[in-house]
Amino acid sequence: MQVVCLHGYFQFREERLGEVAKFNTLYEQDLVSRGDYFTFELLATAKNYSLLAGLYSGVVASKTYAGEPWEVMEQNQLVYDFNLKTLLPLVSVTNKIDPLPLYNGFTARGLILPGSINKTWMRVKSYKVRFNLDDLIFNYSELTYA
Amino acid sequence: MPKALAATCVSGVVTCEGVALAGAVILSEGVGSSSGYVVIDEEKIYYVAKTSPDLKTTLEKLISITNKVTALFTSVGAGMHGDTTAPPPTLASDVSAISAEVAILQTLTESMK
Repeated sequence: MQVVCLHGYFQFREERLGEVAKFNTLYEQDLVSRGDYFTFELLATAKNYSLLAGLYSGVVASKTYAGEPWEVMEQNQLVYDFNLKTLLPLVSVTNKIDPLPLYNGFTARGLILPGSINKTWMRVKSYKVRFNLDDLIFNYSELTYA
Repeated sequence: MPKALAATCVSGVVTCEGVALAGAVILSEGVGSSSGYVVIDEEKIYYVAKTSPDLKTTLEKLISITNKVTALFTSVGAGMHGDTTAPPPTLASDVSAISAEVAILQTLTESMK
């Protein structure tokens, strides 16, 4: 399975048939199809615009903006919390991470919550990750920070 | 990608989905209340009013005035006999009605959407 986290928005793509169903069962998640990828149910219905002081996927938007959902989330400083299954302000995420460095990236067990803070106090904003649901080792690359 | 949404404009305030949009650029006159569309392109917001009601009302008033003027001249013509012309008995009220229509047009001009 390949996953792209774009400013707190997730795109999952299967490498082997049935991975999405297995992921949903294993992590009690709700991935659904949107375009050429899968994403969490709340993100699948995320609008491509936000209105300042209006609701955006259940939270009050801080900016009027039109673009792709991940661009709207970035502009509003929102990320998706897959544990709480809701959008959160980036700055409200207090999760700490300390991924193990690899020759070409990092490895960790499980998905990194966007907005998480690394040991140098930088917030993870975007990343790519590839994992195999058999060994549950997540290989991260292209981590970018807010 | 730009997004177009239904909106209204009252007293220069553009409202969309119940939210007042600060910073919206109104592309029409924006004096009278109107409904229309807001176009959001990244951070830029434009409001476009449906101005066809303005145009329709204006044209209706112009047709009405033209008809009244035509009727007035017809009445004046009917009163022409040889060298003399007797004004039609409705002259004053006909002129008054035309003036009233012109006043409405003036008001429309000052409250364009």
